[in-house]
Amino acid sequence: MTITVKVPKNTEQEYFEYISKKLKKKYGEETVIKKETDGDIIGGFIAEIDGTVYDTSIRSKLDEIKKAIKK
Amino acid sequence: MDIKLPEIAVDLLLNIINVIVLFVIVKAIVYKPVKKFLDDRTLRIKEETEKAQGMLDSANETLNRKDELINEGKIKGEELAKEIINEANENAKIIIDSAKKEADEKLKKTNSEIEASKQKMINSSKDEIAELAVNIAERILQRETNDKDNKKIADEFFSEV
Repeated sequence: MTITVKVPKNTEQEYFEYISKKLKKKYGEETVIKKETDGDIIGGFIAEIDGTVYDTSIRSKLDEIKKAIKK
Repeated sequence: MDIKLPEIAVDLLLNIINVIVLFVIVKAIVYKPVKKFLDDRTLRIKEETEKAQGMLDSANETLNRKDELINEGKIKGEELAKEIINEANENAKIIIDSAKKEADEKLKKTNSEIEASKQKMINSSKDEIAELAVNIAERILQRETNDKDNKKIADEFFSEV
């Protein structure tokens, strides 16, 4: 099983490893964690697990706030 | 005074005869023409009176007819005036209703346009406010967010999943 994790561009490697550890704990040690970086994320991360995207990024929160204000 | 009775009787007799003769002559010569004249005059007067009565009746009839015509004309005139007034009222009502409908539609359209314009402005303002607020928040968060915050976000996620 491969999980792609997108983290903010300027974060430390330690943060990625922190997430990887948590993911492996949950999905098994054999799980492959692929790292990607994205400058727009700001904070949090985006993980694609089994075709499902879990978006915890600050960018998505800001987009939600923007949509709520525009309503 | 020496009066001779036989002379008086003769005179009286002569006078009576004169009167009788005069009466006969007058009756023969004057009475018939005068009577005829009077009868003709009476007849003429009667005819004239009848003619005058006929004319008077005719005049009265004409007068009555005139009154009837005037009344008929008056009634027809009133009916016509009533019809014209009713028609004018109906036309006026149609025109007023049409104008009112048009005015209502225009008012509705104008209100709708005003509301649309207002909504557009509100939406535009909301968009601008949202963009501005998010841009400011984004700049602050980009500057302030650190690994500790990121780990906290990650912890929240894994506690929910």
